[in-house]
Amino acid sequence: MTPQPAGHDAFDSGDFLALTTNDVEMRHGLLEIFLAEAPQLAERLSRALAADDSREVALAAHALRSLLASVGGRASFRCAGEIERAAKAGDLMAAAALHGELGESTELLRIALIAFVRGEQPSC
Amino acid sequence: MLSESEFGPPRSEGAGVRPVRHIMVCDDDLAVRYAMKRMFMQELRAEVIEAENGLVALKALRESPVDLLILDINMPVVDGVEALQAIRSTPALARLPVIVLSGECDAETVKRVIDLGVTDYLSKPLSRPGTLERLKRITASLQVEAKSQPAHQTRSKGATLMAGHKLLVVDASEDFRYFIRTTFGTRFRIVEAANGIDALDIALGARPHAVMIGRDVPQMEADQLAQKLRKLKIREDLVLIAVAARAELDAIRECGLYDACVPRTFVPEVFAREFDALGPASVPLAELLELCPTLRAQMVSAAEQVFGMMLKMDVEPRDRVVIPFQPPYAVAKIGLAIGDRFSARFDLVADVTSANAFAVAMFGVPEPGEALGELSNIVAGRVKHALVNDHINVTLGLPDVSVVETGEVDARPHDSLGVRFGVTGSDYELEIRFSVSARNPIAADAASANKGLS
Repeated sequence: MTPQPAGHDAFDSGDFLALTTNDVEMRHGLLEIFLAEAPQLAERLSRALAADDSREVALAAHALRSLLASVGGRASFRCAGEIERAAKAGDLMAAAALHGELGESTELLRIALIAFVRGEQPSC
Repeated sequence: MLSESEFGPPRSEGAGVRPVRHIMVCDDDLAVRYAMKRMFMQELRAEVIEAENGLVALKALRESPVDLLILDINMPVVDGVEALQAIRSTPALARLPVIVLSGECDAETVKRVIDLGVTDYLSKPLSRPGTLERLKRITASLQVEAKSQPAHQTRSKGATLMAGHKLLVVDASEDFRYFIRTTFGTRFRIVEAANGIDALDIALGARPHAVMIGRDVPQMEADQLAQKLRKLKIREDLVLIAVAARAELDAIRECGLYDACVPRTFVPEVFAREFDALGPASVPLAELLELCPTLRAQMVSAAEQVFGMMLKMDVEPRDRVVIPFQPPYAVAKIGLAIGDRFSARFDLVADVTSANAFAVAMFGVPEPGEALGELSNIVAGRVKHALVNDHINVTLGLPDVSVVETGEVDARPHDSLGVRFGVTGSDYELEIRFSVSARNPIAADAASANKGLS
């Protein structure tokens, strides 16, 4: 795994490149999928938390986690995993407490991923 | 010889796998489907069909047969286990190669998936180091038409030696010839020659399956004799074995004349162990391997799948130098009944340190016996599945687990099919073994016991 400086593991280019290798078109494709899907999945998670539906929270978190793994979102992947585990254990308070962190790390990921794929170095 | 009627219809000769041209990727994650589709299209020039859940996959499979299915487990509507169950119970799809994508799966799910039968697995996330290389290796191996080859011939150049075969021993030393006669006389039909000319004469008449050639061969040099035997084409599958001092073996191997090279020793256990790679010692095991030639490969695959999916540990065969397990070690033994004439035993052995590590990975606590019991149950189940696929009826008993604190070392019996594994990146080791014998009371108990037969 690519070592990350503290607080900068929102986007792991090493993970992203491990999946996409030298396929530039795949990186663009995955970026587009992420930009389209991530907001929908995040919305699904928010609704599930608001409805106190632990099963749906777990499903939404699982789906989001899978997407985040495909684009090198290490921190948000980890956070979504913790939300999923908390929901499966019936602890929606813990899941809700992590929701904010998930949103932040996903936003940082979005910025870094766009910059990386479109050729610029991320500033975060 | 076992009767075919006892074990069902014969396998078709030359059963292989079609080239992989049509692949289905079934995963609810669009990003995963997209990435895999691109990969397969580029690496294999394959046509890829996508399915977002098991139900879509099953409906699509009705219309469009594929050569390979990549199947996620956790999906909505119809999940991977349900889809796999439907696939395996559909005659037209029962043998479809399936690679499972496994994220976090509980032991029950892993066991169920393995019982249903999967070709291989991939761990998620796909960005995990080595995953893509693994996928490429798996799909590359599926593209190779597999001819029926005995499972144990991993070291030899495409020839094999079975119990009951005729073995010609050529060496000037009468002591050495006597040693071979007494060590292997019950396993092979031994004929002897003290020099190269006699060896050729006997070989032309007796047509041995294998010729073991020492370095001291009067009237003809050993390698010259080997070349002559090849040229005479006594048998197409003739096995040539060189016996020499360890220091000479590398050079002998490099010359490429021999199917195997065995170090010269007069210690029966050491010689037998070195010789074991050439073929099974027991006739029942040899007969079973004729019916299920991929047994060793299935054992390796089962261990890789179970440890990979359940424990997230990569295991690889490490059979080059096998040191017996010293106490303390744990062993799980499972009796099997094969047809109504033979019994078998499946063993899983590990030193206690390794077994504790497996237990911690599975349960979070160091319970070595529990871990080996559970693991042996699942791996043996997978092996059973392989035998059933080859139309061999098998019933399994329950694991009998023990932890040996002191006393004798555990050594692989020479009449078993065994594989030693190491866990990548660690010193942990384990061994799985399969022994077959004529029906005995222990196995009869395992087969007839009321509890837990599957």
